[in-house]
Amino acid sequence: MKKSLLFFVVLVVLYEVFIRSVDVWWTLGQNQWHANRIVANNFVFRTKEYANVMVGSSMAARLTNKISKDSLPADLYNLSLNGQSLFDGLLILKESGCAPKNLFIETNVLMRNEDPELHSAIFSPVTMNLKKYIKSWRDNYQPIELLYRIRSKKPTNADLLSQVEAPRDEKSYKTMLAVQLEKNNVPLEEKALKKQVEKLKELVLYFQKKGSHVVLFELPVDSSLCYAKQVTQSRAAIREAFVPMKCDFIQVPSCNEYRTTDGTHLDVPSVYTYLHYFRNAIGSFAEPR
Amino acid sequence: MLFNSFEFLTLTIASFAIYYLSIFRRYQVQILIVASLIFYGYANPKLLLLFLFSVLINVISSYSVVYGKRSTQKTVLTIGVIFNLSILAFFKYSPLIGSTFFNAGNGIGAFLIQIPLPIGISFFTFEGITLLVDAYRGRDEAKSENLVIPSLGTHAMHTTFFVAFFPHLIAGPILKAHHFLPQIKEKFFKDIPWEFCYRNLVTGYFLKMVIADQLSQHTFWIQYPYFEVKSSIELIVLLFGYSIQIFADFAGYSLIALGIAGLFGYKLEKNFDFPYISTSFSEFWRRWHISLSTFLKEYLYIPLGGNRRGPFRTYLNLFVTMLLGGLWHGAAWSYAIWGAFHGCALAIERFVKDHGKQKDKAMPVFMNILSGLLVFMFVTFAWLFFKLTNISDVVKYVAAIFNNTHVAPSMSSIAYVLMYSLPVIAYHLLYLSKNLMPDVLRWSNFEAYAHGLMLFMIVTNSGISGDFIYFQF
Repeated sequence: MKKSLLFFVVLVVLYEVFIRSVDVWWTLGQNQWHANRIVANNFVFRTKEYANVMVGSSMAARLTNKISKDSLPADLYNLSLNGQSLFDGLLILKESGCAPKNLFIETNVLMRNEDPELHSAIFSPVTMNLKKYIKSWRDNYQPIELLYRIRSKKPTNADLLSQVEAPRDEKSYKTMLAVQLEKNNVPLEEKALKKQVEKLKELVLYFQKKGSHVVLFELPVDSSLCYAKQVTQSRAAIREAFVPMKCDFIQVPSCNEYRTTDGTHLDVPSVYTYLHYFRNAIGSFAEPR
Repeated sequence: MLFNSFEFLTLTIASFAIYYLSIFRRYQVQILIVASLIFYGYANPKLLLLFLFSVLINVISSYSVVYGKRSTQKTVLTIGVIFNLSILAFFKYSPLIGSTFFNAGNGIGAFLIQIPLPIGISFFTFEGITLLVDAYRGRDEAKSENLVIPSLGTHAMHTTFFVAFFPHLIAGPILKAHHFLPQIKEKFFKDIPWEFCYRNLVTGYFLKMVIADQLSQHTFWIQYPYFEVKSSIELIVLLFGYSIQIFADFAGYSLIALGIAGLFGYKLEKNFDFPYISTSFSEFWRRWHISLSTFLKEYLYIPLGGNRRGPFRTYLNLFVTMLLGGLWHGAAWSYAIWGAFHGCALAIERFVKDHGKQKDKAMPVFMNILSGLLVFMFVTFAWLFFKLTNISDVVKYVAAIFNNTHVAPSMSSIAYVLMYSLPVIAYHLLYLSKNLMPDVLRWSNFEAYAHGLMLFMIVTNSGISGDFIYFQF
């Protein structure tokens, strides 16, 4: 047992030294949950403050461009999480004690609740404090991913642009769209919708009291889903609740101009189109206030 | 309370610290009972009511079975067993009965569907049954006093401890009264088997946190409609990954339970013995979830007649035992099908063995390998009924394997599943080749480093901690 524990300590020390001396830029998550933890960890252990923060679901998590100048502004942290809800991002923000100047909330997935497992994985008192000081224990540096994705040099913009996007698989797209249509055309239970709106109102109020300017936005989806029952119901409830709270809104652009991979998630060219639209729309908010 | 949660660590460390203090030594059992009740009731204290009620009935009936009137002992035993099975049936199977036999709007159906499933009920009711049956079987023997103490108060305390002891309470191993109760006595710090505990805890947490939790983030996609858009090869790899995950999850939990029980001076029975090296279905069930297999054998298969009533009854008994064993796992028809699959496999294997020409001859090596692969593939396919409790989803999944040959696979997902499966495969292969290795390559030479590496992986490479799969049963 002593030999084993000693070997463990040696490994920990060597790995910590390695992580602190090498720029590990190539990790991006082994799967969506791991990617979420990296996003959350990077925010919790941030080395600078962000004036703007975005929270939301996987739909907003896609808002990124290979070329950084065409992506979201550098002072905007995208805390949107794949497969999770906007509440996860808001609670991480709250727990971190951060109140950004501008808080952008993607409201497409209002009915999904926060995930307590994710929350405890990030804020468990023991692991959080250890990760604060032992960098190599953070999720960005999981050895398996680090070894699997290891690359010798960072790609240039030209390398990134030359990468070919896989074409949309039409059969998969139709299958997923049919499932989404069926689900979204069943009306939401008013009581459940009201409960989610109230929960969001409470958090919005919390950040407003801390001085944040809250902006709500909705991403375009497949044109056949854009006016599905659940979507219109949720859209109306959000406007009704948050216009009186003096929140700003970014209008959803025409869904006809966008293409999705599965009915709800924008494909890469559409992400670029929306990013352009979004950057223009937030221009006035993102200025220092 | 998860075994890797902060709350659990606090509870275990606090209990451990008090347990061995000389001033509290007389109260060791009581300390563990209190810790176990906190563990069980932490998330939902209301569950304690049913749990304690079940314990109370088992205390009274087991006591009456040994010390009651001779003429009523069998009746008390029967009532006690029926009571345990009834609470299991009511809480576990009411939703299934409600959804299967009643229409959506029916009041009775709606009532049955909303009955909650108390965590660990399958385990503590089975342990109640072992206490009653063991007490009845040994009632005339002097050693029965080890199981049922003449003092009712002490018996009540021991029984509560036997059922509640937190390392095994919610996901086993299923303890047998005759194995556990005689171990209850004063424990001393100097007697702790540190090496044993360390090995089991490190291996258990590694299997759970690094292997099972990481794989679960990939096998998540084995659910409708997500699998519809995955490639054929990915669907096969994911199913393979689930087979490894369920082993790592459950064997990991069992090893942690063994390690923690060891810290408190108790030895629980081994629950897994390298099951994926099995070359027959009967061998698989001697190596997988051993505490359940032996329970089913001792308390169901043998009382049904075992193999003593001719070949047909033997096949039927095997089938019925596995069918009920399948239903024990969960209240869905898919679990019954899973059990029936294994029951058929065991019955057919028995039939072939009974009628084969080479009954006693050892199989050549390549046949052993072939049999091992066949058993593994069958067992892996059958896990689909565990993962997808809606049978139509199982059909869709199999159809997608055949239909999605045109879809491009996600190579990274496949690579990760295979990488995380590798330690489990190596774990089995090392065991298989233990007698073939030259001395310098013996596992014992590397064991300390392997455990150090596992500990390193636990702190640097764990997945998101999720519930143990067997918690739901």
